[in-house]
Amino acid sequence: MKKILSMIFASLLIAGCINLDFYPSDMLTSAALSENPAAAVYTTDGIYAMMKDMLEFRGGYSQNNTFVRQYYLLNELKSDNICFSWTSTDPFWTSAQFMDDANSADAAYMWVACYKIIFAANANISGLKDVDTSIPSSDRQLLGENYFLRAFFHLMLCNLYAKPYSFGTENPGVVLRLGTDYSETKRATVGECYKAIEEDLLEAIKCMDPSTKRGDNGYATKEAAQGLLSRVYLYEGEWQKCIDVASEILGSDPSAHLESEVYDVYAKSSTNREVLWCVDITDADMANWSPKGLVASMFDSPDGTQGKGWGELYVADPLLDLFERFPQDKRYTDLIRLFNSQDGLFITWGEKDDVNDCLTNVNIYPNVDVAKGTISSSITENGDGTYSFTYDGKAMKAIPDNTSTKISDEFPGYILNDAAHTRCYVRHKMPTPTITTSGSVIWENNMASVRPGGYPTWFCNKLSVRDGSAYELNTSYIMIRYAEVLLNRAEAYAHLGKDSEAIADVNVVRKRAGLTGNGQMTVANMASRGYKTSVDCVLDERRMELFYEGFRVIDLVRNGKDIDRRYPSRTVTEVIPYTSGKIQYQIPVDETSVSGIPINEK
Amino acid sequence: MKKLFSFILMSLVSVAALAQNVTGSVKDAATGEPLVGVGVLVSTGGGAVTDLDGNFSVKAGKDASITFNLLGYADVVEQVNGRSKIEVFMKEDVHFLDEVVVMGYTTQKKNELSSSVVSLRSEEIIDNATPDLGNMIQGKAAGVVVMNASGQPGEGAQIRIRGTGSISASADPLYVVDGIAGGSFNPNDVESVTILKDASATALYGASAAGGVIVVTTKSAKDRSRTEVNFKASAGIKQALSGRFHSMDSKELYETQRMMMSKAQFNNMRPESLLDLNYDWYGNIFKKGIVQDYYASVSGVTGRVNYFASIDHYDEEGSLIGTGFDRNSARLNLGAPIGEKVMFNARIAYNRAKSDYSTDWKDAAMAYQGLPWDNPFDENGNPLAIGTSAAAGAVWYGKEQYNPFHSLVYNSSTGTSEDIVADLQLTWNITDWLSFTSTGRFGSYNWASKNYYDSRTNTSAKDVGSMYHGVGTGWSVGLTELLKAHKNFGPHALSGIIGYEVGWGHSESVGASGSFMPTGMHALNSVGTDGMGVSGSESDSAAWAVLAQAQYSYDEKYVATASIRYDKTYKFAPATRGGFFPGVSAAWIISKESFMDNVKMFDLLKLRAGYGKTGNSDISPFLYYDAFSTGSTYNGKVVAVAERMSNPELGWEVAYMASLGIEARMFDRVNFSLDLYSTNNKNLLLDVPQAPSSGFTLYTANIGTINNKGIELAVDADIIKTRDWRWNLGFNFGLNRNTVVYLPNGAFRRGYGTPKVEQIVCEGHDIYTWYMPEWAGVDPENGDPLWWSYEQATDDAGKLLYYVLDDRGNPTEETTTESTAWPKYTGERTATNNYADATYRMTGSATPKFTGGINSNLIWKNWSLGANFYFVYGNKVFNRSRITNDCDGSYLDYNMMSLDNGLGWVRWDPNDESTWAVATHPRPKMNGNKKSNSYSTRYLEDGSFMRLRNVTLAYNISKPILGGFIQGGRVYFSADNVFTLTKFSGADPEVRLEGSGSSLAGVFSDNYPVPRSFILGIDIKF
Repeated sequence: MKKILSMIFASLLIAGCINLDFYPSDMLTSAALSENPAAAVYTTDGIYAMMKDMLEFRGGYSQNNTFVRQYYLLNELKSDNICFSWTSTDPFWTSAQFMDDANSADAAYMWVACYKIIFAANANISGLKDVDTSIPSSDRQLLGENYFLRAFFHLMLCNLYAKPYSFGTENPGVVLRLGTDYSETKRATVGECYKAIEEDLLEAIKCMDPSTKRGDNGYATKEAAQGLLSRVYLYEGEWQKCIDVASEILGSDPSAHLESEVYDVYAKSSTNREVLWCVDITDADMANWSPKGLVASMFDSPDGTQGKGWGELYVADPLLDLFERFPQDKRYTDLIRLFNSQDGLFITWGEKDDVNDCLTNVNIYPNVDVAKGTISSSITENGDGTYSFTYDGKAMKAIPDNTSTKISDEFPGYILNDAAHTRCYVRHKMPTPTITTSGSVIWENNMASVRPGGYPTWFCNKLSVRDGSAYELNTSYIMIRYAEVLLNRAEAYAHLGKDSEAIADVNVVRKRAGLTGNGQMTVANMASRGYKTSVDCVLDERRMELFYEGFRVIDLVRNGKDIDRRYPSRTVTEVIPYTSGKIQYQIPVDETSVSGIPINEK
Repeated sequence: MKKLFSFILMSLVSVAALAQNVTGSVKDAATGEPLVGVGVLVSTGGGAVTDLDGNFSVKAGKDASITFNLLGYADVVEQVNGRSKIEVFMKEDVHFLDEVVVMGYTTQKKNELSSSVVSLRSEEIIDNATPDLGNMIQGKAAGVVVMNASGQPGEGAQIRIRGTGSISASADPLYVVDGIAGGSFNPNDVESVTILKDASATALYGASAAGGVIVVTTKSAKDRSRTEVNFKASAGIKQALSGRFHSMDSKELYETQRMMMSKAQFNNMRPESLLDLNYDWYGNIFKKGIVQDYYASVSGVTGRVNYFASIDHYDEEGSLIGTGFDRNSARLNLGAPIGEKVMFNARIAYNRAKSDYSTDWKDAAMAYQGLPWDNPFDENGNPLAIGTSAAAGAVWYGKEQYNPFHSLVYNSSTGTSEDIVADLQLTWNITDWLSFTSTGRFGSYNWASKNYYDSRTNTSAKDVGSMYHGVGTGWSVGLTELLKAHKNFGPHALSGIIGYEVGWGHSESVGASGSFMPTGMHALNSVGTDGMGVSGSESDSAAWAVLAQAQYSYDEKYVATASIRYDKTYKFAPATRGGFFPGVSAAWIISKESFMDNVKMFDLLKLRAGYGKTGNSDISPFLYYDAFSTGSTYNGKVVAVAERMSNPELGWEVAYMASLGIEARMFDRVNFSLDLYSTNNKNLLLDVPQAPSSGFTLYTANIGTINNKGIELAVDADIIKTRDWRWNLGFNFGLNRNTVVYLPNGAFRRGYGTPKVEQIVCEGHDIYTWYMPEWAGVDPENGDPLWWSYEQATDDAGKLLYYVLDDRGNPTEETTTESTAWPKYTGERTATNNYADATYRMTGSATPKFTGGINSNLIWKNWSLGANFYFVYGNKVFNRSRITNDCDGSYLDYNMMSLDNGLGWVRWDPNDESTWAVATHPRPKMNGNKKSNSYSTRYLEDGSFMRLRNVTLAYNISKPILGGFIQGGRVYFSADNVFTLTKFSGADPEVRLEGSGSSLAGVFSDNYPVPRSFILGIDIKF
């Protein structure tokens, strides 16, 4: 008995000595990390990595949920550059239709991702500032990058979830997170947000120096901060400040900052001279990523067969029309690709689909009327600028439109001689239809050249090419580049009434696109080409230069222009007034149900 | 096997040499009638059966013992002792009263139990063809909810005992195998299963016992000197079920799509030739599978050593193409005395299992969504390589460019696991009232997981071969020291244990993936360097506990038990690691009172009550630290990303349970028990949602209280009990009410997926309360979808009113400041066709209101017919598949579910006025009708069902045949999941009982339904 009792007591003593302190082997605690002298490098690079990585969201990881994907999609989906052929199971379909709500996954992910990054930037800023006031220049660079990043992400949040600055500074902005005190959660005003963004960028410019740049275009620099500041000033309507800061980095010869070939801007984005800042994607990243999860896959499907990308978004007819004015534009020839195309006259227009409130395409090929699935007479070029063809047994004509205020006689759009159909589009490239022996047309393969509804698949391949990569659709995602800075300045000049300066900047971009001679704009030809103001001219140039890069919606709205969706697409045919609350994304319910901050009015 | 037989034959021969003739008769002890058909088994081998006059004659050795058995009577063992004539009286089996229940650390007489337990013997659970214990106990224990959410072979069922008390931490029960927490077992080796339901019993297990405890005891040699060889074999087919669900056939889909489009468009997109195509995706992707199980065991006593050894091979082909499971397992249980007072037991169990999984979620999805116009096979019968360059130009109407039959040829996804668990147990009977048991258990396991995607398939979507290969290994060591005492002092009986437990564990894993593999390579030695990814982890664990229990009983009339346990685990921060878990219970066996002497109807009448506290630490380790993940890179350099903040206060989730029960056995035929309980789970280990603007979306903290209360009723009766006929009918019923009592912010929403499916965890409501807009039907005027929009209250100036939340998150006064969380509604509602105006509401719960089972066993002579029903009532299941399958045209390139499912569904047809007033389904439109397939109660369905889980017809060999070569056994035919009564429109109403990191409880989403199976089996004892 004694023995047993002593055994028991002995085992109790052992119990007291059992070590229960273990550490995670696959993570670092903050204590362990702080022992590493390069901690700030790790955590700053962590921010860049968070922009491309799938972050945990609503309990899981999804290839849809990367910052870069949502950055490109959310900023572009509600624009007039996009044509949908089909309902998508992807939630971006609801955004594209202005039907997103506080539960929508994309906008909710974006909110979460931005604040995760802002949290990290705040931790880094407070850590680096605590070290010393006379910190080494390498740490000042890191500090500057973190200020820059905090500004970039606050601006991103403002673009998506708040009214533009031009609507007034007292509108509700987003939650401002500056410093490490998170005790209060409220929506700052738009004015307060922009003020903070501006201050952060000025601080970032002070901290960084070209000599401390840390690597390729994948790392923030002083110039990137200046470029972003030009964007901020533009959005604020601080025209002169925008011109000043843009001029500082553009120098006397802005063209020296542009790549000579349009294609190379995207093909070599991480190393070329034009890109101020991008998110680097390496082949190692691609190994863990299905190309279909990339944003590029929504815009393009690069090879001849199916399966590489979803290719669900097509370039909309109005943008194609803009390019058709100068079809030699390299931004058209090199960056927009009609899938499975061949040369040939091709006439297309939208026909009202009453069941679905949208415009379905009717496509007239030289030798086949696809909408009827039967062979029709070919299109006749009449020599007087009109085109004749037969549709549904009726003789029809496409006539240059001389009445539109937007399109001049020099670069015509077309209308039909049929009262039921007004606007039509004449193209010199056509999709190759597959016609069965019975005469019907097969077009339902995922990547076929014409999708249901008659929509030809015009892919944007800005994001789908990368030199030397083993992976298709691999690209480093451009966030800021000199051409945008230049067009920021052009717009600022235009708003100040300095038309010739504005046009001069526009022409730098046009020249690079291969538009010389007649292709150049002048103050004189501007009006004859349908532009009432130089601002409109700059906006069209921004549309052509920056399409699918996330600028179109904000450019229209902050300038008080409506979003005109009256073109063939599966989206509802409508004009969204620039004042519409549907343009801003809803603050996600994940946020409002916990912190109770006010929602956006629809 | 051959060896086994020759061994048996040899023993028969050697025994026969020493044997003498023994004759005699067997009579009923109560009536004196001769008993016919009594099995007479001689320990040295051989046997006979009594004839019509109850006489028998056998050969037996002088020192042999003879066992007499007859169903319904207690076994009698007679020592021969040189006698040549033996007269035996057998009593009807009343072993119930002396039945002993294994409680894990202790065993107890059933009638002295003071807490609520359900004890199931091996033969009560082996009817279903399944390798999983959860499936075996479904419908057999009141208050134990078992749901089998997947037909994936080898997948375990989910078990909830007395409701769900945890939200973020696991609410699974704790398994105790052969007296020690954890371990593994083959269901064929199970001798008994005891389910400890209330805290007065589970408190002794403290850690992780908040979800109840399931005690499993494996077989050992019966204390007989006869070698028993048992061989079982069963084989059968599995057949996929689809419930009320069936996809549209070519014609129905064609006609439905015609309604959605203009004539021109329809003619163009849907040529009439499509009607010649009619491929049945569901029927081909879900097909018949084969299941087989072979099992052999030997047990006996040689000298002073008793042994039990078994091997088992189980093989199941899934009903979903490409899925399967096989397992080999073996066990050796040995016992032997060392000297006079010490007994040792050694147990070794080995398992190796392999599962084949679908290589792509689309395998099952295509069954639901594949279009009848897409034939996955070409004209030569070869699977079409759709989605790859090899099939360029092929016509394919469906959305997913994916052919599961093609990927099946090349791709694979397998998981293997292997574990070995060895126990060594020493029991020292110090005196006749005091014993000491020391048990050491060592377990070692490893697993591997391999996914291979061939470059010829499009699954990787890269057209490059890719592969993932992960391996892991781990071990655990545990020691349990128990000092047990039991002593009677006249009518007083006192017993108790004190003990100590400690355990350590270790696990590590490494995984790698690669791509750009040459066709035909299946190993990671040939991947492109650009396409490599690696990951790894390693972790240690430890915990210890001390425990004590005391029990006092007076005259077997009054029983009182008290226990206490102190646990410490590595999962929590140093300051909060310890947890005290006490429990008390008492029982009053009324039937033993003298005043009951005249009440003949009760063989047993018992009242019991208990109260106890248990703990739950079942969360990921290290959550109390802050952490930076370093798993990613930027530009090839390792980066650090903040993963979570620290919580040095993180500690035990605890459950307090009070219970009261009454048990009775009446007329020697009827067993009855009724239990009431109430459990409060407090300091929940909760993933509390945080405002994302803080940089984090969740933090884990001890916050919140949940209450489960319920009633459990179990009745079984021997309705017929004659010599040839016996019929036992059992019924059990468990009703549970779950209520969230306290949460930090009053409520939070949980949702997953796209579109997001949501539940709200809200004070005063069930934890699985659905939260969604309410469907208001179809507008008869135009076929629009309608939802209810609730009118928000306004103040006198017409401004919308919201509630102000107090610091506890409860709505208090009104405000006009906007907030999405708590608008104030007037109760007035209008139907709207704009989904954005629909109001989110609480719309019922995924938790069943009650569940139960009916078990019937009818015996006629040697034949038995058993049936087992399981029912679930009052839960709401969200049929997520319908968002894509029943979408009114939103997805033209997915198939739709047929409306012809017996539920009276009608579609609003623009060409048929008779449908307008009665339509349940909106007018179909290409690309959808006003978001009609959005998340709403339209797809929230009654999940109640009643299922005939099993029917078994068996012929029992109750007496030795073939000259005693076969001692007994049975031949049976068994059918599982024979039929299901339900109003659920999906393929299977049996869905997940709990949420996971990425899904909610109660969601049906292109599930792999549980199949039906028909099994033929034999079970022979030699």
